[in-house]
Amino acid sequence: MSAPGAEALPAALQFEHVDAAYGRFRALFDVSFTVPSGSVTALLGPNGAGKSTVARVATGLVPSTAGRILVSGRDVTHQPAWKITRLGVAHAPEGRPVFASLDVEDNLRLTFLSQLSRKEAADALERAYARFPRLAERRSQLAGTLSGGEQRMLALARVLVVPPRLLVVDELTLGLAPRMVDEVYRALRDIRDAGTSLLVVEQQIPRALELAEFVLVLRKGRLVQARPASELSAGLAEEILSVPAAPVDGSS
Amino acid sequence: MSQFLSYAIPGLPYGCVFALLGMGLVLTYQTSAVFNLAFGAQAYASALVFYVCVSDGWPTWAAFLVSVVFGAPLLGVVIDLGLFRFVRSRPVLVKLVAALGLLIVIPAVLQVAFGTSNRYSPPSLWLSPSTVYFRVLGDPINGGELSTVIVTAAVALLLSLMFHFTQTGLRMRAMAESPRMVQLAGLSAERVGMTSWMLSSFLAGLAGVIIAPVFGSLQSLNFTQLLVAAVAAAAAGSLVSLPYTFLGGVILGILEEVLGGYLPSGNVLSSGLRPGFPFIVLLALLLFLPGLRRRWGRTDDPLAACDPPPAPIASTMRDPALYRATRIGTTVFVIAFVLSCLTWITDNWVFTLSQALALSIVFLSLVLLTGMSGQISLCQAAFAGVGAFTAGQLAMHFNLSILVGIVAAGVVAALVGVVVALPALRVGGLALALATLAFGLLADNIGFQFSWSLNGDSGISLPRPTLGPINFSSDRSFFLLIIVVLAICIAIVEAIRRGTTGRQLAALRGSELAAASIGINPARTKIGVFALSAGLAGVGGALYGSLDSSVSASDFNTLVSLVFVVVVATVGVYTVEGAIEAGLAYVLLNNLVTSSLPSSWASLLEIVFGAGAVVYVLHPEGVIEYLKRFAIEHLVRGGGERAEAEVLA
Ligand SMILES: Nc1ncnc2c1ncn2[C@@H]1O[C@H](COP(=O)(O)OP(=O)(O)OP(=O)(O)O)[C@@H](O)[C@H]1O
Ligand SMILES: [Mg+2]
Repeated sequence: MSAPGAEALPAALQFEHVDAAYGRFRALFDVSFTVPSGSVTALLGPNGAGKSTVARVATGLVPSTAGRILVSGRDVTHQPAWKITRLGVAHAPEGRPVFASLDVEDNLRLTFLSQLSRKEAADALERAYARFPRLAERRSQLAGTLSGGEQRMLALARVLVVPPRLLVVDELTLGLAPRMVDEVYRALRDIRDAGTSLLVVEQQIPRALELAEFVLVLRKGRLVQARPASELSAGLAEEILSVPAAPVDGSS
Repeated sequence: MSQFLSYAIPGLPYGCVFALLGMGLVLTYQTSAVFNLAFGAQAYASALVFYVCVSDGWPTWAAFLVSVVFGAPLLGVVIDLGLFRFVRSRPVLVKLVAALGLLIVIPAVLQVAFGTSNRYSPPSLWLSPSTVYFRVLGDPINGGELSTVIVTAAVALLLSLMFHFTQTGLRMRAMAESPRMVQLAGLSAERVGMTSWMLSSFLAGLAGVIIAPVFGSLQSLNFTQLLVAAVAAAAAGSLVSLPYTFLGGVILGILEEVLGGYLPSGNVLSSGLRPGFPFIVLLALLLFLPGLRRRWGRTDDPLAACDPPPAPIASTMRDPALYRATRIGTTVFVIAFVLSCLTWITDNWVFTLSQALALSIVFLSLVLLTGMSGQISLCQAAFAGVGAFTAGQLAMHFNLSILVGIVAAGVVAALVGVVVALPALRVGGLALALATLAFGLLADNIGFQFSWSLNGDSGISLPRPTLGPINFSSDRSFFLLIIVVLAICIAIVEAIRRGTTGRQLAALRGSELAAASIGINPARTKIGVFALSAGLAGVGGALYGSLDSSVSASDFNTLVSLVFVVVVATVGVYTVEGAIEAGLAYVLLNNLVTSSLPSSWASLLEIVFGAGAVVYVLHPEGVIEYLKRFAIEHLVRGGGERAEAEVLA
């Protein structure tokens, strides 16, 4: 199943018949999809569907047990996570996407220094602070003591300043107040405008559909829908998430 | 004051070495989540290579380059690549067994490489210990002390600066929290981990070369004992802080010498204090440092959810086919075995097999403790020693039959077990392991030296028991007695496994918090099991002693405890048969090596056991259990494929 229109664009991320497992427990079954370059793709599904697993497999945190994964056309199937990261894939994981025991500045420096020269990194640091003044105020505070929203901002600041080719965000809005959610989506929009392709895992379906051009729906570890967002209204999406998995009209 | 100083100043170099090792421990614990018990062995390796190079006529600087600057980090890389890299996200037991295997293997391999000759007065690294440079309030400061303090201070300072202000340090601090997040920052976690192994191994090597002259002769056990002091220093830094670890180490060294100075010299207490004191400090830290308690075994990796769940305890998921096969096989085998031993097998072999079965009782205590309740003890041999001397002394002084003595041995060992475990149990796996390690060293060096206990290396004698008209002095009748006691012990362990306690233990292994919420008292259950396990070890020790007719402190020293854990874990710690198989394997291998092979092969045994620890990392269910399953799968099923459990579909 690939999203319509994908043929026209070089894919930022491509899954071909991917299976994945945690030890003896299989979590993904024959998942195939494409995230077209420069687009925003939303990955939806009920709890435990395997959305986070897709995100983890995409960035090499969890090994796939079958199938191929391509990033910008390059096969990265059994590559370690840091090599995939170096190809320009960033991943903001579920929960706490920062180093709690490092201060704000060290969090930023760690990422910048691994991709940029010392001088460019100092530059990037200034730009990050300029974009998020709140982080500048808290630059020597331990990231673990930031509020949930500030932690997500810190995670986004790292990618905003040095835009990756592909950004995978996993439920970045979970538990945030509406104002904070707005701010997260504003940042995501900025990142997309900078040319980054996005794979957005989201529970708040209407918010995701505002931004996304393509939608993937996972159920019980299988991909059941892959279609342009324009074909889905928010109400329909809710419905899709609640119908049983059985026969699927994923042919779009 | 000046007397105080004259004790304190010689303590400073010790303290510096504790500090170096402690900082190394903190560094690797932080960056690779492994508590490297083999650190003392690494220090010994560098000290030995340094000694050999210098006595071959090399200049000191060249020997230092080879042994510490290049050699030590190289060893660090080898053990990281070969072993520790694979255990990072495994349970504490796996990590500990891996480290213990190294602790046993490294000195053994060195003995093969460099011979076993005694090496006296190791050379000093820099300034000569026989030259007095200046005096502080009348106390002479010699070159050895001076160079130790200067080198340590410089290294500690550089290390702290590096850790807090350089990019490498930043990466290591990030690793401490989550290697996966480090990967997501585009950095190879493996490479960062390797750097920290090189660094910490360098510290170990440096500490070894510095401390060697103080010991007077090079013996690996001296270095192993250093470890407890290093652990106490690391605990003073709550396992995170390098500066506090440094301070903790220095203060510990000074206190040790001051106490040693003020205690009356020449008695057991003062000569055993050096290895015993860190134990007391460690326990005090465990009890009174709340921050430390939170940190043992913590996992705050936000990406921990990427790891599959830990494998369930092996015995609970055995194949029915394997169950049937083992039950029938075991019954036939046991009957044939006992009959053979009573009839045609030679006396020598009956004695050897009796030894194996007596040890099996000690090993059974590990099955109960580790396999069933998930706790780790590094002093089961000490409990066995307590049992042996209880039975022996009761027989000697009160003319009590050994049969009564065996029961008393169990009771006394269980009581000692409660005392050892009480402070550490609240804290969890690693802390209990370290507390028991320290207790073992304390027992070796102080407890077992008194004439009322094991009387040191001279030992005590235990008679064979009599029961009314039955006399167990012949090997065959004693063999029967051991079989009966073993059967009773197995029955107790099985009853626990099947009964309420077993279920409670299973619940506790899953989640202590959840278990507590359904009314299980974790502390009480765990202490009960620990006490019972110590009691079993005591019974086994008493039987073993009575079989041999005499025992001494060296039969039950800490190294023996460590080997016990490695052997049982390797052979199979999750099943009752595992204990018996381990007993047989241990005694038979021991016999093979000591009686049939030339003495230069003596360290072969340790190498085999150490290699076993590596196998354990691959097959935590135990080698024999693994082989059995393998055989069953291929014989019974004809190699048929097993359906994987699909939770989702
Ligand atoms: N570390 C793990 N070990 C074993 N099973 C796991 C692990 N992590 C996830 N799973 C299982 O894999 C399946 C998919 O999990 P995943 O976290 O990908 O779901 P999700 O769609 O992200 O759910 P949520 O919306 O709750 O975040 C679930 O059934 C989950 O129980
Ligand atoms: Mg998720």
